[in-house]
Amino acid sequence: MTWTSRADRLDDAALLAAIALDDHAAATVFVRRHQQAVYGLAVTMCPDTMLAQDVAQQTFERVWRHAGSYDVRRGSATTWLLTITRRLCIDLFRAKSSKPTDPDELLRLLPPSPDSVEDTALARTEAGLLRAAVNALSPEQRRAVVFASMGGHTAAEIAEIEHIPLGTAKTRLRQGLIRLRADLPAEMHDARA
Amino acid sequence: MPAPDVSRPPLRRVVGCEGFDDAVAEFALGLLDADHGDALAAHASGCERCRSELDSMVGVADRLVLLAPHAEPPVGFESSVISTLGGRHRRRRPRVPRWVAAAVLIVAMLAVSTTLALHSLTASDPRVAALDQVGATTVRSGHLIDGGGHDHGTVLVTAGTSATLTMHLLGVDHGVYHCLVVGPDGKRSEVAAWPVGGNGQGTWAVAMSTSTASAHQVMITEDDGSVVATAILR
Repeated sequence: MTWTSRADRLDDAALLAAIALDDHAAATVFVRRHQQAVYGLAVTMCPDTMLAQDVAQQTFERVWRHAGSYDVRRGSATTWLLTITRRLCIDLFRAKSSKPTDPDELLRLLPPSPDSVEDTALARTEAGLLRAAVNALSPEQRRAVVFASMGGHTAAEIAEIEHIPLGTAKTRLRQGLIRLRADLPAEMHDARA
Repeated sequence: MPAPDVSRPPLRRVVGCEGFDDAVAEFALGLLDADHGDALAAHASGCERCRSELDSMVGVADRLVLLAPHAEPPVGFESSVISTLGGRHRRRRPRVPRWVAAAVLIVAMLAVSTTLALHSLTASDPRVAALDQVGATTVRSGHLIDGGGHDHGTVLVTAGTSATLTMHLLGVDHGVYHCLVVGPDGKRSEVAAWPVGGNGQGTWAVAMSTSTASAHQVMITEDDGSVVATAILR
């Protein structure tokens, strides 16, 4: 029999339960499994790679301290994890420690059209469905949603970037989220999903 | 005569449904300042319509993080993070007896599965449905006790349409340990073998067949077959 850790066979929820019990092996597997996603989001939102690296490290430190608070009914572990990363980036922007990525750069995150998600396997994933739904928004709503979610921009900042009234920016953002809610499968936005 | 103190606490911001709708998207995305966010949260706590709106908005907003592409971190990132976690664990975290933590986990899992079974939440969610099935069947547990009566952790077996054995082992020497289940007929079956590092502990889970899930006893043995500890499942 080959003696290898079985932790790498556990799903994320089980790993987090083990991390809550201070299991370092589980934490190691969790870091290896998610470091590319966490660093990818951090460096997308924060163009300073040193700060992005720091945000990614802080994300895993928070997971280590708060793994017990993860609730599988409120979303996937990936979403929970990346939400921590996103909030850390926004904290940096609010503290003026870093500027967010240029809005034009953020828009390049998305394929140019809904048809560009050609890989059907990718299109069926949660990320693929989300990309398709975001691409189906009007260009104005799409920019507002991407600027707010990936750039951490408030409606007032979006109004300034887009040279539009504040009310218009708020409407675009809210209507964008409402449209996404309508287009995405219920399990992707149900609070218990 | 001194003037009466007419100072008042600062006025709290109050929002109605219209103000809530105006800012709910930013709130869901975590973009509002604390005062404004508190006001919306206070309103949502007393307004079912706005609470429901907020829940679904947060559900969408949280998923938007998945838009970001993956990226390879710099060389050395992984080892730096992992070593930091270990260091912070030793310096900062309060020590909680392992058996307490394991017991809390078991109680929490039982509570979750029972709650889910009672309320039959969201049949559309396969994860919750899976937990439902666990809650609808059996959950048994026991402490791993050695020959001297010392506690070496806990075993939890959930059995329904699928079965899982979860073990938290502690207070053992560095080495490889075999996990055997003992059926009602006394037959032993090895379900896994796990390495334990220098800290003498670990947590694992393994899927079980429905036949082995009926076991009433779980044993941990060393390579030579000597029994380290046994748990009676109840």
